[in-house]
Amino acid sequence: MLFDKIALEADEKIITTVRKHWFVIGMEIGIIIVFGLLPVFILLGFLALPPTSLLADAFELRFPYIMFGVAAWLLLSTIAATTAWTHYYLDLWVITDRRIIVIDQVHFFNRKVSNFRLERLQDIKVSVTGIIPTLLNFGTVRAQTASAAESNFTSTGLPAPRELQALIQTAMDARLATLGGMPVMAD
Amino acid sequence: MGDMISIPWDALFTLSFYVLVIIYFCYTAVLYYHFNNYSMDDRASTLTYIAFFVVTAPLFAIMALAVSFI
Repeated sequence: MLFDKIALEADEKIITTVRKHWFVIGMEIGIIIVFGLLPVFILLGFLALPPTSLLADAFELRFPYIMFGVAAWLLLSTIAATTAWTHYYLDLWVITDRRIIVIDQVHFFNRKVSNFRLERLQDIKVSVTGIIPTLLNFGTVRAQTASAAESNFTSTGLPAPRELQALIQTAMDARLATLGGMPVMAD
Repeated sequence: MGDMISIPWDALFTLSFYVLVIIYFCYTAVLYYHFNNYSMDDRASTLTYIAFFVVTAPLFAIMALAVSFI
């Protein structure tokens, strides 16, 4: 399990975990399903042909080959859909009361895990661009830390980005107040 | 001119079937490794395995049946 691997500090509490918006995975899997079912529709088209046509005869003669091809295509489509789901499911932001853990599952064998301490966080920018992201409320979150520029992090397709920004800001203020590094602004 | 090497269709399809079986087993192992190590929820992992096998097992049955008829 993931939290066995990510060692949380003593008394460190997980505030929330965030995955990409459902629309992101919905679109990916939707496109795979359309392409996956394409030969099935072509097959149904052939089955609708009149039984006396030349094409129907050829189809009948080659039926095992066609069935094998369609099944193999569907199998590869299923593998593609499962891969998309795995990348979606394992891509994760874990926000604790002390840090943000960003897990980026790029490919099966390319996984990046970054830790950013809340007290080192300098700025969080949110951008929601486009009609669908605006309607469905998802967008890009960019966070800048006090460290080198390489440690800045960006995630696209995160749901409710403004709420996430507010949540991180609140956690950051609370953390700074705990550390005594900066006074918390009164509401 | 050299002799043309002709591969019979049935052998080609049988070979493709075995290659797909190998790919499938390798992929399943990789999938299991990732969900077993990185998943946060056992229920989600189990549902993923079940969905994957429910969809792929009939496809393998169809392919095996098709190969037996070739």
